[in-house]
Amino acid sequence: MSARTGGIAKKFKGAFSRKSAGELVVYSLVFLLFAFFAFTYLYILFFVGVNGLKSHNDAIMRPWGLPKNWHFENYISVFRDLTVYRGTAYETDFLKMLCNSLYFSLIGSFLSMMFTSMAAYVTCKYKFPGSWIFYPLTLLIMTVPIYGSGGALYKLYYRMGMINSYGQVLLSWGGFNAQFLYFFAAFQSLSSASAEAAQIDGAGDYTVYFRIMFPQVINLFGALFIMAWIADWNNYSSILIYLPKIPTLAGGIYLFQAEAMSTVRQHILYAAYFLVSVPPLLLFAFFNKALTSNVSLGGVKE
Amino acid sequence: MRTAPRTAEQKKIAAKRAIFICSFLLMPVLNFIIFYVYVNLESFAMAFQRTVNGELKIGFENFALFFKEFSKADSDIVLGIKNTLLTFCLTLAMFPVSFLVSFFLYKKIWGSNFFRFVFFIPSLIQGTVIAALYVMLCNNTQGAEGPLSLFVQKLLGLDQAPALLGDPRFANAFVLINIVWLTFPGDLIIWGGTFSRIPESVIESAKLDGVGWLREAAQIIVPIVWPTVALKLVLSFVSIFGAGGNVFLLTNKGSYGTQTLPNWMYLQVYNQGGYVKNSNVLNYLSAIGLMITAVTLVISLTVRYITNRMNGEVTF
Repeated sequence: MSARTGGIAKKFKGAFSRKSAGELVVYSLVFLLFAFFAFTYLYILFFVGVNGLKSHNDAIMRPWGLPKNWHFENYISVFRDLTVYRGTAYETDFLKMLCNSLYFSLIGSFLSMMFTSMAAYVTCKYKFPGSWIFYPLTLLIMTVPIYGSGGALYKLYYRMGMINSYGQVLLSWGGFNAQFLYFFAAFQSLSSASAEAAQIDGAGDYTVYFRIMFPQVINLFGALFIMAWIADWNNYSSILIYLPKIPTLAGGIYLFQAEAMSTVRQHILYAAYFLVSVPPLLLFAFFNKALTSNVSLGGVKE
Repeated sequence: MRTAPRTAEQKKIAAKRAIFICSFLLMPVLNFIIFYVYVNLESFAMAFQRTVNGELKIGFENFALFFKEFSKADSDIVLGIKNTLLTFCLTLAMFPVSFLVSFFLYKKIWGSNFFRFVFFIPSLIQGTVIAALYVMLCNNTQGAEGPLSLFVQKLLGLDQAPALLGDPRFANAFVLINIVWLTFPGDLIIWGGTFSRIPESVIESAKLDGVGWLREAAQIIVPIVWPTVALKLVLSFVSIFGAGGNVFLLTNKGSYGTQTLPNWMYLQVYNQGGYVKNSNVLNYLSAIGLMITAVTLVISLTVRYITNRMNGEVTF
C-alpha cells in the first residue's frame, strides 16, 4: 500500500472509528447519499464540457455519449460564433459579453460592498442624531419584503435612461441589506481602542477607517464580495429585463440558446456553458475557506 | 467617539466629523430613498391607477380585476399561487434536510472536504447551465431520450418516453424534483459558519457521555444554534410568495401547468418590452404585489412571535 493510499485509509478509519454499529450504518448511508448528489453535480460540468467537444448533430442526437470526433476547436470557436443580435445596431459577441459581465459584476459588487461597509461602520461606531434607526430599518427591510414593485422599478430605470445603459452600474450602491447586518456585527465586535489611539496621534476619520478599521474586516469584505460577484456573474433574469441589448454572458447565453438549434450551433452553446462555469468554480476553489469561515448569521447561544 | 464641541478647534473637528459621516451615508441613504422608498411608493400608487382610453383613472379596479381573476378555475394567478405554496412547502420540508447535510459535514463524515466543495456547485454555476442538463435528462426526442424520461416510461409502462417538462401530467412534479435536487445541500455558508462557532468543549463532553448523532443534533446543536434556525425560519416564511422553481428555464417560462407567482410577476415586466407608459399590466402587478405584501406582513409577524416564544428572541 502506498503512503498516499495508506493515508486515505487511515483517514477513512478515523472518520468511522469510535462509532456504534448503528451510527456506522447511518454514516455509511449518508456517505452514499452524499456521493450520489456529488456525482450528479459534477456530472453537470462533465455533460456540458463533453458536449462542447462534439459537432452540432452529435450533441443533439447523442447527448449521453462521448464525442465521435473530438472538436477541441469548439472552445476557440465560441469567441467567434456565439453572437446575439438585438436589433441591427446591437450585435454582441462572446468577448463583448465577457467584458460586460466583468464590468457589471466586478464594479457593481465592489461598489455595493464598499458603500454597505461604510454605512455599517458609521452607524455602528458613531453616535449622531438618527444613528440608531439604520439597524432596525435594515431588519424591517429584510423581514418585510415588498412584492410587485418590479413594474415601478422598471419605470424608474426607464425614466432615468438606464435601460441598456452602462451607467446602470452606478446604481449598484449598496446600503441597508443583509450584507449591512454582517458588516455591522463585524464592526460591533471590533474594539475602538486602536482607532481612538490613532485619533489622538492626529489621524482623521478617513484614515482611521481605511487604514485601521477596514483592514480588520477585509476577510468578511472579501467573502461577501465574492458571493456578490458570483451572484452578479450568474444573474440572467435582471439582465434580460434591464440590459437585453448589452447582455452579459449569463443573459447573452440565454438569448443565444433560443437560436442555437436553428443556427446549428448547439455544440457552441455547450462549450459556452462550460466556459462561463469555470471562473466562479476557480474563484471558489481558491477562496473556499475564506467564504465558509467568515460569514455567519443569527449567532449561537453562549 | 462623541465629543461636545466647545472651542473653535473642537467645532472644526465636529464639522469635519459631520462631513465624514455624511460622505459615508450619502450614497446608501440616496439608494434607500430612490430604490426603496420612492419605488415602493410609486408601486403603491400604481396599484390604484388604471388607464382607460388614454385617461388615467384612480380606483380599485385592479383589485376588483384580481378577485374576478381569482374566481376563475383556469386562472394563471391561481395556478401560480397554488404552485408557489406547493414549492414553499417543499422548501420548508428541505429545511431539516439541509440542516442535516451541514451537520454531517460538520461531523466530518468521510470525504467531507470534497463534499463541501462539490455541494457548492449548484450555487456557483449559472441556472441556464444546470437547466441544460436537467432538460436533457427529461427530454423525449427519439434516439436521444433522457434517462429520467426512459425511467418514467418503464415505470408507467408507456408506449413512448414522455416529455417530462413538456407534459402537464409530469411537468410540475419534475420541477419540484429539480428543486429537491438543487436545494439538497442547503445554505452551507450560513450553517458552516454557525456550526464553526459552537464551543468544542460542549461537543467533547457530549461525546464523553456517549451521546449519539441524533441526540447530539436534536438536543445539543439545535438549541445552541436556535437563533440561526429561528432567523432562517422567519426569512423563509417572509419569502413564502417568492418561492418558485426554475420554471422560466425548465418549462418555457412556466408553461404546462407549472406557473409560479414570482415567475408570473417577472413575466409581467419581462413581456413589457419597454412599453411602460400608462401600462395597466404593471399597475395590475402592483395591486397584486400590494395584497401579497399585506398577507406576508401578517405571516412574518406571526412566525416571528411563535419562534420568539419557542426559544427566545430572534437575533440577527
